[in-house]
Amino acid sequence: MTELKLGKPPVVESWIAFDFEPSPNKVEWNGELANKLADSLSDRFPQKEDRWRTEFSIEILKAGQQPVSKKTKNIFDSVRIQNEESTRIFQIADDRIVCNQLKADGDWPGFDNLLDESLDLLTQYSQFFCPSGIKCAELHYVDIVEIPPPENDVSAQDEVVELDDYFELVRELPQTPFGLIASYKTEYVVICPQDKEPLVISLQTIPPPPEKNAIRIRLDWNKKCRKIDFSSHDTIREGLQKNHSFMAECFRASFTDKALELFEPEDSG
Amino acid sequence: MTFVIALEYPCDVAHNIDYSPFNQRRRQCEVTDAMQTPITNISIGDTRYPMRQACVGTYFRALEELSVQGVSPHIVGKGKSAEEASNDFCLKVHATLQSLINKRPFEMTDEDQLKLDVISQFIDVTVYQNTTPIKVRQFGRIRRARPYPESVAWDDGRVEQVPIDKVEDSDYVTYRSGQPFEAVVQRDPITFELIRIVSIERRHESHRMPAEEESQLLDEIGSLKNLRQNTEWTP
Repeated sequence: MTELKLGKPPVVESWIAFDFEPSPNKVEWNGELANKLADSLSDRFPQKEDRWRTEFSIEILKAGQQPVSKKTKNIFDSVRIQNEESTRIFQIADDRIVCNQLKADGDWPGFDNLLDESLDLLTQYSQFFCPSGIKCAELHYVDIVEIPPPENDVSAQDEVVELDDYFELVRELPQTPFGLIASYKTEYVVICPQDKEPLVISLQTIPPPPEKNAIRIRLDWNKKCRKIDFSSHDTIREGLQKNHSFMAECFRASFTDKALELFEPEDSG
Repeated sequence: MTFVIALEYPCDVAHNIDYSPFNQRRRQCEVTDAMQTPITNISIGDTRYPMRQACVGTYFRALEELSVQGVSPHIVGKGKSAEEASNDFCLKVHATLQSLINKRPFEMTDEDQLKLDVISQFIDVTVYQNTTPIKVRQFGRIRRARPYPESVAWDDGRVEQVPIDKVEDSDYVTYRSGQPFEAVVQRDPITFELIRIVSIERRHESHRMPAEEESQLLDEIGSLKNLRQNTEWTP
């Protein structure tokens, strides 16, 4: 398969996450070690944020009484560190790390860059937490596709955008009796033929800014990778690259040629 | 594409994979997504808005925009970081609400009403109005000071207890009985009970002109009757 190169790829965020088998000597998760790891990376990730969540226990004391909140527990959730430009984010949670890459001005650094950084952070995490192994890796992409309004401005209000002109994924509803679609949200779980793992694709309209008369669609691609060989960085790299290729293939098949024109495909030859 | 019937979702026993979209780890995805920006409270200065529910915004670093489902595109936060965009969003909500909150329904355009409806989805505007003290300018005089002021008579004739600790200006303690003053007063929006006096200043005794002088002044001002007699204007 020839790789599709895009001048303006729609991706705005991607992440690689790893879920771990904890070490047999694991102590209760309280964020202390995670904060130490975050501090050791402060030259690359100077902004740090501790994230907490609150859990309530609701109990009914006697039949007919109002339920009361008996216990409130603040639980340390994760540490989130990011670089100065907020384009690289590293999250350390209980037996889980996530490496996020956010699009800013300029070129998208690409999957290989994200993979390199994730494996580097995986090494750092492993040295601090000594997990027994990796249970699962996860690849996630977020795309924002902006469909411009019809060019004929004179009757622009009467013009409608046909979503299936742009997406192979979308099924239009018949105009009778439904009328026009004001917003859209749908989700597919497909089974990757290679490893029989689920790929979750969700597609939804999101609001454009008031000054733009356009349609914005958010696409999320989430692939769990439990069956790759986690024994070395090389095998992890290879496994994730295979999964990425599958997702890229699905991405290409999800759009019509008209939509791909929006992303300015480059001649790979 | 071939659909897998719901009852026959393949389940990989060895890896315990459930393909149902409902059982995928959605919360983990939401927590992991660095673009998700929760907005749990909106406070600007002393103003704190009661939230019906926390909103979750999505910050697009590439677009420098914070979009909140149900609120955007009417209100969109702008900024070079999620925090900056979140602050901008809160400021826009504050500015929009303050410009609308004192309008009577007949003064609102359709767009105003739409914005208020959108904001009311996540801010309880009625609770905000019912719990936000109103500020009024009032004139009065000290009614009793033994030895410190404790009771005032307002110019509408009402008498009210105003202890020292309800007045922010320390000079109030020196006011003597009969001292006229002008004050900015915070009151409960529902009961109109005094909450506190924000500022207070001494004023001179108001002067009423003698009856003869007052009558002369009214004659000089004239009346509609005189205007009709004197004018040469015809429609």
